[in-house]
Amino acid sequence: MNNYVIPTIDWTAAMPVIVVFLTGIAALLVEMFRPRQNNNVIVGISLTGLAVAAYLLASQVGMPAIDTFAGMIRRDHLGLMLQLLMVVACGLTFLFGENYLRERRMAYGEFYPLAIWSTAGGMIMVGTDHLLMIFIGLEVLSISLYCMAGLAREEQRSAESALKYFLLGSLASAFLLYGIAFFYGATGTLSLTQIGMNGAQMNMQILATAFVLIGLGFKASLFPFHMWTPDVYQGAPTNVSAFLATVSKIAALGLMARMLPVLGQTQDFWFPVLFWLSMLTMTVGNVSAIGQTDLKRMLGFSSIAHAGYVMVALLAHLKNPKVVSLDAMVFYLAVYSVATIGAFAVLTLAVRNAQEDARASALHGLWKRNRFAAGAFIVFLISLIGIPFTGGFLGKLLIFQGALQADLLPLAIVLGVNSAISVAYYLFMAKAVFVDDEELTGARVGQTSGGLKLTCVVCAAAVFGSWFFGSTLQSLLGAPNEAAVKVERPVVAQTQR
Amino acid sequence: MENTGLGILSLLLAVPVLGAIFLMFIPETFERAIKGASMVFSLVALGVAATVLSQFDGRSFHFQMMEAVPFLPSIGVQWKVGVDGISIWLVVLTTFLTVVANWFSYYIKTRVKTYFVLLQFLQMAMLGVFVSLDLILFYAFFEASLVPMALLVYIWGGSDRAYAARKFFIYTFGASIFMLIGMIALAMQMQKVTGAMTFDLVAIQAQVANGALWANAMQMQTVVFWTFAVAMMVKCPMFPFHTWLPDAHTEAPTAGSVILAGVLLKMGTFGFLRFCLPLFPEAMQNAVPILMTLCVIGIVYGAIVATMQDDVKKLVAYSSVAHMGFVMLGIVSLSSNGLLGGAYQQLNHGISTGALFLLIGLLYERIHTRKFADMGGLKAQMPIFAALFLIVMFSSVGLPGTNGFIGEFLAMMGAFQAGMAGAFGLNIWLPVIAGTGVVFAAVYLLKMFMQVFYGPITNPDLLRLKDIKTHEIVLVGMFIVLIFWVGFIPTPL
Amino acid sequence: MKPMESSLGAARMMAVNPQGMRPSWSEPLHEIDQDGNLVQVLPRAEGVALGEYTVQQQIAPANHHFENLREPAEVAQR
Repeated sequence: MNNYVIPTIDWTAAMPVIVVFLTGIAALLVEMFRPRQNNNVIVGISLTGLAVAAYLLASQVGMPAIDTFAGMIRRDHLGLMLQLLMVVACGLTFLFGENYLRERRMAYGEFYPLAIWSTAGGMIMVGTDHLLMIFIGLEVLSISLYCMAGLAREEQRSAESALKYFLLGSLASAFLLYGIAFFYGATGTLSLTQIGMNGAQMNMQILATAFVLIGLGFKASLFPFHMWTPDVYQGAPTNVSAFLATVSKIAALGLMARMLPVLGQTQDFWFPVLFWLSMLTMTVGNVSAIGQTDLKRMLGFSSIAHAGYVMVALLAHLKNPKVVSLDAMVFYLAVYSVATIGAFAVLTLAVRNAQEDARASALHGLWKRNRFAAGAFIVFLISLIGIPFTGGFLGKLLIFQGALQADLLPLAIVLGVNSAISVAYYLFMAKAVFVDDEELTGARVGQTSGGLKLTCVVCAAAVFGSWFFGSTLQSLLGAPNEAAVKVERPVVAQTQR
Repeated sequence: MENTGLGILSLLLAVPVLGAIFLMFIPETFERAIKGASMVFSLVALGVAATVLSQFDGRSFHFQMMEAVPFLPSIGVQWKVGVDGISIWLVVLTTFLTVVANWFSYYIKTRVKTYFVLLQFLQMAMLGVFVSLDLILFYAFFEASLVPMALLVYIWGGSDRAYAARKFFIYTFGASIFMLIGMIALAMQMQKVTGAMTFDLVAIQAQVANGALWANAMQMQTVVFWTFAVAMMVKCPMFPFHTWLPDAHTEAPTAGSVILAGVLLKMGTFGFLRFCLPLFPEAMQNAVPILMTLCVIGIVYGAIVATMQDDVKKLVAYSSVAHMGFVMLGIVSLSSNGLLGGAYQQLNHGISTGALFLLIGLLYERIHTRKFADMGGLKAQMPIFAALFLIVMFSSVGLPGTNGFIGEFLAMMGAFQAGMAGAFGLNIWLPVIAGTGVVFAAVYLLKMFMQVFYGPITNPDLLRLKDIKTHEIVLVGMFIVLIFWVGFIPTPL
Repeated sequence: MKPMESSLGAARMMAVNPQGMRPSWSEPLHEIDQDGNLVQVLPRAEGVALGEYTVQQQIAPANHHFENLREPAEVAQR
């Protein structure tokens, strides 16, 4: 300890997370003094804060990768991209959320700070190399989410959703923490990069990896840890479901993308496991989605399936990191997120009498009464199926390409089969908007708020834009590969030696 | 030869897109304006297609009016379009049938705007399929055509439309997603051989022609070939992948049926000509016995099932299975006559079956039934209609002097030549069995004609019927002109 | 030879002819002549239509494959 070096601190790298946190606090303060049942100011502050954070993140793109705060925070291209995605996804759920919350008479202002902190937790998770930070991030993400899932206080289903999510989520956190402890026990360090270079106690490391993967698999809702997903998505308020399906999923899958390449020593052990899990995740997600009657449940199962698709992209990268970059995965996460948020946004139209009703019949007649929302809904579903001229197709194309380049033909084939299966239930959803039986549904469906319209426009533009400008977008995301191949040496590791 | 900017083919694709956007801005209540504007845009597209045809130099087999613009350079996808002698006629057929579909859609009363917007998008996708020279671009248009077609079936279809639309979508999508995997595998093989990943058809074919691409990769060639072939066979459709077709045809609105039979099925046969033959020579030759057997089964099976239908549209749908069997029979014989016959027959099937569906649609608008049991004796009520129907039917049977004859004859001849020569392990028996399909065609079509037009009138509704109107006669008359024109002077093709 | 026939002939020869006797879309000097044979043509001058060409030599006859069926060994090999 005689050669102790004061760690260098680079505030720019930490600034986006700090800004997001402060935004949450500011929103909470405003919430305390706000005029009754009017969250417009809070939404304004939140969106401004998120926009600033997004700007700060974007301005750091292209800067060299660094470790700062004594190795607690890492800034690299992958982390920046994932953080940017989360901030944007969070902002998108805010756009349509306010009107929906009012419709359901639960416009509690605390939703916004909670969601913002949750996003900040996710950003911490993917912006660090340190296992403790990862755990803190995960807890910040999760605890806020437990509250959000129970936002509809007076509704049983929401309470059930929150409780279920809380119980299973804490179990998963415990697994993760247990895994972290094992890692520390085996290697004596909490830095992922150093763990990856440490060959001690391989058996314990394998055990640790397994525990960590269980914890993350729960968050990413991989089979067999996916059981909670449909129940929670169904019971939670729709904007929270959209948040869950995107921000928390990006965080968990993004963390896997950061963690697994480092743990190359035990790859022989966990790779086959994840290989089978991704296959089963896709298949179980898609097959269970067929036959669901609740559209939110259906989208929940669809999000499970899409997590499986993303895993294929990740596995392709892990198998052959020199040839297959992570950009396919990030790209897919991005196009999946916008399409999913858009679809959930349209589902908020199904609210009636302050009650949630997301059965397919709730959307009947939408095409007739609200052409705009119905059209956007179709666009999102088309992207989720993966029909050309949408980003969803390009994302799938990149995943296929990666899988073939990494010699993972079985995964590509299973993904193909699953794409075909998924058509069945996406078409079921699409068809609901064309059914005309107004007596059955009442004329309630169809009042769109400006926020919902804006969400639909932005998401639809993103869905098409990511196809037409796919190459530009991909090259923007493409940088992580170079960074990953180089494997930045952590600054702290060198100073300590 | 190679144009690096955008040109007339991009214009051709842009016209329907502009049309669709323009239509979106017309208020829903102005039905006549929507119908008129849609018609104008499809006529413009037909005009552009005619211009393309007039500029086309038929003496060369090369692609013409080519355009190549990088689109997704990171994975080697380009906006590359061009026409050759095979696709040019399909482009013209597509624009022509879209005009017809617009004309007939005079009858559409519900959700008029949506309908015509979808029709314009459908036209764009279909044209795109025929002019794409990049595999991913082709796939994009191939899949994109599914959405408007499935929606046309679903929204304006008959009673069982949800099932039909879903089946159509899942069958085609499920098969072609594997074609996408095949395409990527092909592009990666290209990367292995030339060092650059590309989906450019022309570049890939150049490597196939000199034998570099598939050297020591015979197994891969076979696998990739089948991913393409199965996608095309579902689209054609060939036995045993044909089961979506009768459902889709039966439930589709008339204009949808016309386009489905006239253009969408041709994407499958066109795909064989454009990709399976040039890119997978050895695999294609090895597959000939299997493919031809399936063709013959399709011809005979389709014909037998057609004779047993009690629904006019189902009957014509199954006859489509048989006719497309003949198209494929010609193509897979890989003889010059066979290919020529197959290519003729796919155009003629578009005209004849398109016209048949049109006539059935005209009838359906009047009596709202498709069952033979509810018809009978129509000839007395509608003599002109009966005469037109007879001509179109003869063309479908393949009577000499109509367009249907030349294609079927050449396709059969090609298959016989290949069989007699013993090429590709074929023998004479398959074409002989296929020949019985021609007899069946006469049986079921004549049976249909008898049941619809002769006999006593059992359905009292029919007594109120008047003959078809002048503008409808003109509409069908265009097809009849084509039928005889191609029948007597097939050479301009 | 009509437009469809030359293109169809090219597609067929791409499928059935052995390497070196296959036409190629990327080779502007390949053409299908009036009788359906694959020929090598002289380079065209600037601005000359694709169809205006002078035949240099024949690469493959129209029905090469069917005329050469007598060699079953070669077919079996494929």
